[in-house]
Amino acid sequence: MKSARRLVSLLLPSWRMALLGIFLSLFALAANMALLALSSWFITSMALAGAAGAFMDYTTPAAAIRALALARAGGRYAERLVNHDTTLRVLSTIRVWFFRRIEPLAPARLQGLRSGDLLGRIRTDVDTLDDFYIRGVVPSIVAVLALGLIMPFLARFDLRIAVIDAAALACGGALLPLFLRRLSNAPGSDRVALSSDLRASVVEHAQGMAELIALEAVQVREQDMGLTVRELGIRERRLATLQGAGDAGLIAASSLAVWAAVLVLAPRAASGSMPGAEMAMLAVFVLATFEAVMPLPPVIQRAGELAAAARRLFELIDTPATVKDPESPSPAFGSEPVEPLGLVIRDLRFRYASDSPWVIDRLSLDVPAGGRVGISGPSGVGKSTLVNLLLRFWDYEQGTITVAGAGKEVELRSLRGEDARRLFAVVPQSPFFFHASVRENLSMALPEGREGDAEAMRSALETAQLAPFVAALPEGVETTVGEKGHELSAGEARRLAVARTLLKEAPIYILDEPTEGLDEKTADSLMAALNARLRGKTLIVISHRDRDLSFAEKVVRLDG
Amino acid sequence: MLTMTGTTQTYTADSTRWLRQLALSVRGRLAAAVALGELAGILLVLQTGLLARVADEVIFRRSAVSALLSLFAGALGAVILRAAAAAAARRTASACASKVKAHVRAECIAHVARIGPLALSGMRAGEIAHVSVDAVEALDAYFSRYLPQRSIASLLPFTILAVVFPLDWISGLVLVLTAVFLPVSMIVIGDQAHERNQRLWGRLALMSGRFLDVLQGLSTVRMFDAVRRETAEIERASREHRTLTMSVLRLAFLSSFMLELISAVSIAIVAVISGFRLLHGTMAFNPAYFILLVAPEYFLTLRMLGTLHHSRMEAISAAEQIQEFLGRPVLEESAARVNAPCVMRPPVITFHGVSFSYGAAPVLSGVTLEIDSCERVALIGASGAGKSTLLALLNRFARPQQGTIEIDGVPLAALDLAGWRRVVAWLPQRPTMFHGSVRDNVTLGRRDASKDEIRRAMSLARAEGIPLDTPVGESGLGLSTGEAQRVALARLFLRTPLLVLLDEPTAHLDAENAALVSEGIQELSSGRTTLLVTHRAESAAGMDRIVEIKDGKAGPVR
Repeated sequence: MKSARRLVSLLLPSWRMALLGIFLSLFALAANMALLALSSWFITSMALAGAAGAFMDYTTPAAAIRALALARAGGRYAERLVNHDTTLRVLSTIRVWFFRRIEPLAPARLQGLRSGDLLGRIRTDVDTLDDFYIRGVVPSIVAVLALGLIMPFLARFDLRIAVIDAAALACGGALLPLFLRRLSNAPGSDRVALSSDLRASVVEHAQGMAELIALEAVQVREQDMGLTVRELGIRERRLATLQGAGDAGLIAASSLAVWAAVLVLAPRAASGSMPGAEMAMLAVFVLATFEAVMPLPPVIQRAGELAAAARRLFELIDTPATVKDPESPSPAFGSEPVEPLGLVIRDLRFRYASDSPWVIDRLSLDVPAGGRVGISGPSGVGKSTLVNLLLRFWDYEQGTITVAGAGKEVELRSLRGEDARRLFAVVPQSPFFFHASVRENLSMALPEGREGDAEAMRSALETAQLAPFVAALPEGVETTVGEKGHELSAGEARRLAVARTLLKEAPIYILDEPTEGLDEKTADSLMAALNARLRGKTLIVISHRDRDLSFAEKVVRLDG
Repeated sequence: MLTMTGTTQTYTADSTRWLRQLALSVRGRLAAAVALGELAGILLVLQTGLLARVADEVIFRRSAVSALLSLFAGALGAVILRAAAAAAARRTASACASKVKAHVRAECIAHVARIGPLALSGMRAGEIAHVSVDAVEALDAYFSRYLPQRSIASLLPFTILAVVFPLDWISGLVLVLTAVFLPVSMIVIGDQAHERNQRLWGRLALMSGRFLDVLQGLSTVRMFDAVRRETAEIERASREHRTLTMSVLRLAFLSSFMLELISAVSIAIVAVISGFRLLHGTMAFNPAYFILLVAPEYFLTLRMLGTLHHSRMEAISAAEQIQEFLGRPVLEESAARVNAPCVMRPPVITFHGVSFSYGAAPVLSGVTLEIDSCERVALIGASGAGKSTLLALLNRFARPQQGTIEIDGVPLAALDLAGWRRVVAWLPQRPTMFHGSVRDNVTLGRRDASKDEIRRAMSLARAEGIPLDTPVGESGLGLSTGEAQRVALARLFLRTPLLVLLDEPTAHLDAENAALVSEGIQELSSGRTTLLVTHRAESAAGMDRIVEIKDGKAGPVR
């Protein structure tokens, strides 16, 4: 219920369009019912008049029929446009809302949860929410409002057929689908579970393929997955049978309603207490009312899925961030960066969970303001973790990190995360690039208001030894780098990451393996250019290549 | 952008062809589903005929209900049969989709092994899972809804016309003539919409992709203090996405507008023309009422097809993803050869000028090295020097681009592959633990191992302290790194190796676990040809010889 209210709140910004869309849907629906009913009444009246040799004024109904035909088509067109426009507005609200709330959770809260799967799940869930408006909200409201129009109309002619129609609409459009949904709960959730099983198995299969081949276990696992696929098929067929029952139910409900109406009205028409034309009209009208509930069974079927998707997303964004900003953040180094800055790390200990081993165990490290420090050591000893702690993506358990400069000393934890991150410009171990142009990827690092600074970009590319490469690209800086930068080689990606980091003005620069994938010569010129450009800044270089660290005043070796 | 659209089009042509082939493989069931759907349509026409007849009897002949009971009974029968046929049609069509999906999933899963471990390491496992599970799911509606509906849409209207014409050719003509406008207007509008769509497709995909992209790069966004800017960017991109989409939809919806219009106008014309003829007594009520009732159904099948059109588009784009994956090059593997030599004793291994590069980056450039039978050699060198690549070559996950590897004087590539796999035991840097129990993981390479064999292997691997029923979660959750390493070692003791390949077996372990694993390794390597990869000289203690890999070559440690 609570998530329903939160969902509805996402519709509020677009309520005017939503109202218009619902009105138009209702209008198009009513026009169709009126068209069919009036046509039936018209031909029956004409036939009766013809048989009696009586005169009939046909101009008004004939004109009304033509008008209704146009109203129907025009109403549908307008309704679809307005409702799709609203959907896209809602979609935009959902995305911005979700992004704002998930942002503080990255990366700490988004990692542990089966890394590969989480993003996929978010993707599917957001997609599910995307069409909850047009496929869920609109048809439900329209159906209810339509009933409010249909029932008084039918009751004017005969209360019994109003009751019959209401019962049939309720049975075929809501009660039977609700009952079938209960039956399909078990196979439905089985299907979801089997699918995610299969997804996880395929992930493992791909990740462990080398070992599976070496252990000759490929076939056995393929057979296991084949069984899962078969189980999945069994559930699918069961669900299809239930869906078929729903189709059959709606067919039966609509047809039986018509025949029941005829059965009730026939004696009246035969005895003359109801004009024959009215009976012919009402039979068709009852049939036409079913257009109002036609979209409901899928809505009911998917309501559970939607609720689950919404619940998952709400749960995710409701998880508290791992790192909380201090109650009264230190104002030091707040807005204007102080330079140069140094770091003093004492007895730092960190682990990802209270039951996992220490990733950083009693680390002490001095980085003098404006100094150059190298860090070396094998992979997996917590170098990137240290970077994550400095950026306040995680909180350390024991020890201290002090930022010192301009006569001030501040414990990192007393800074707001945003302020702490402003102190560092980092090339992370695996830099991420957006599926956008070189320029767009660079400009995100520039301070607000200077996004278009082409000169700054050019000089950063120059220092990163990437200027000739970018110049040779078909569209220069406007060339896209591919999804996650996949169109760049490892060395190009590294250097682009370096260039991007240089564009961020910060007192402390941390470069994790800046020369990976580069040949000796380029690596040397890159390091020399960096060293020259970052004069006066504090520079920490993490590398396994000794020559990268040759200019460092101090090299610290991290080792388990 | 131009190139992007180009490749999309060629893929689309391929994808439609591929989908058509899949449809052929289930054509029997598809035909059954169509026949059932058509039967439901015919029963609807019958039911409508009965309704018109009853109305005629009651209104014009003042018949009592009791005289019409046989008509009511017939209608009831038609309703029941029609509901049953519709349900069966749905079930049959869904069975087609199920069958196709199972087939494609099996193909995708089998292709994972065909691609081979080296190429897989450059791909994201999550993406492969997405293709084999979710993209395949997107084919469902195409086979279970779109294809059957398309056939019914080309059958049922003709069935209705065949009934209408003998009753009243004028109304029949109205239906035919209005319907003729349909394809013409739809083709004209459809073409324009399609062209517009194609032009915008790349931009639309990019814009809606932006959101996911930003989600994936959230840490980077935060790192660069760009949260506010990216929020604005998402807002801007969705707004632009909406404007563009609406400009496409305004045109695309025109075709459904035409459908609605023609359907409504056609009903109006039939009603008005019939009305006048009824007034003048040149037409009977029964057929007029029947045609009016059946006319909406005449257009309904076509309208339904329109609403299912997007499932076709979705299936095509899913098919593109699936085909892209299935088109990934297959690791060339020597076919099983009869009488290919097998290794019967701890082998002598000789590398003759072996070179290997990943793409343009050379890793090994002329490694020459001989390892004696039962000799235990440590390979040291900086990370990235190519030590693990050497093991990958021995594992036959790839072939050297130059030079040869000989086993007891026989080229490695000429050995029977299955026989070779059986005698090689490989412990990778971070062994994969599979979801299941510890027992499942230990018996991975030998499902038929007996209890005693398992116990023995666990104790040789110094893993007897780990209960076999311990559940292991995804990526080894539930086991510590050291435990996982020992379980992986136990896996190898269950086999009968002659050559042991170890890749940094103790690198990520604490002292206690490292000691346990080292003991197990001593056990495993004794009496077997052994290669131990390490980046630290001290881990090489206890080996017969240390070889350094440097600058792509092998040499003694200086």
